[in-house]
Amino acid sequence: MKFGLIDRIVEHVRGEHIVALKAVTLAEEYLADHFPTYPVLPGVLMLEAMTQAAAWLVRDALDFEPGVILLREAKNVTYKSFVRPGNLLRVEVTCRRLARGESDFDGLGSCDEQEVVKARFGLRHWAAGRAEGFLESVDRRILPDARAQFESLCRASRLRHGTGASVR
Amino acid sequence: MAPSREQLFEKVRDVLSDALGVDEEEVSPEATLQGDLGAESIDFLDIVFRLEKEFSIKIPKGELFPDDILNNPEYIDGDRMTPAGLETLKAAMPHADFSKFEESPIVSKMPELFTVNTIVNYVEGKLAAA
Repeated sequence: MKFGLIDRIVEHVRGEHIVALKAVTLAEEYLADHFPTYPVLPGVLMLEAMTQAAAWLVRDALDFEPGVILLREAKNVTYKSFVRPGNLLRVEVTCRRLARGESDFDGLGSCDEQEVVKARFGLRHWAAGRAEGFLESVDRRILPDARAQFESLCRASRLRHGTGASVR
Repeated sequence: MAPSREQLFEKVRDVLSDALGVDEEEVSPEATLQGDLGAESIDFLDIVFRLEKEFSIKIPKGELFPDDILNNPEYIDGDRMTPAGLETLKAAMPHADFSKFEESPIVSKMPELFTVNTIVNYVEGKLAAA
């Protein structure tokens, strides 16, 4: 299963705000069971899409130093409606706090301008090599891959990086 | 002595508050599990498990939250439930209030059937039958 849920980054203000898209398609394996005659994106994956968008904001803001980024907590998560194959889930994430090892966000997911999910959540992040010296080689592998992937996600929207500016 | 409705509600409220990570004040009788309390599919499993433990009851798969309806193509037509689907769902959920859903049985509105009252009704029925 491809766990990278973000398909495109459409807005980005370094360290502050990011907007990303996730297209839902029938090719996603988990839809076969959720549910057989009425496939919908599982709520936890709506939250995961917001988490991943926030993770991209963190990577870029911290110069791709943390190789490991995990959800630390999620609060007041509300689901308003289903997201179905053929829908485009737009996640808008605003950073409330960004420290080297932790960050907090407000996230909003919408489909066709209708709110479908909202949450307040926090991430924890670190460089693998800082925790365990022998994992430095993992960091060295992750870092360029992450940068390349980020560039690719932004390229379709022609976003420029390093300037802190967003381009619609 | 069988617990009163009020006592049942308080225990169900505690279960939902723990399972969904919400304050007790938010768990009103009419609150919907998904819309008001933020529950989603994975939470329903957790709720069933916690109710079984709290009330020492066995909840067979699909008895509290019917899972067959969305699996049967005869019950769904596009984004609406068919009359056959609605009848099957009503028979499977005597603990739910269908008055609003019946008027417009749109599948995406189905989660609104699952209110706190729905759970209390179900537990009440299970304990009475025991």
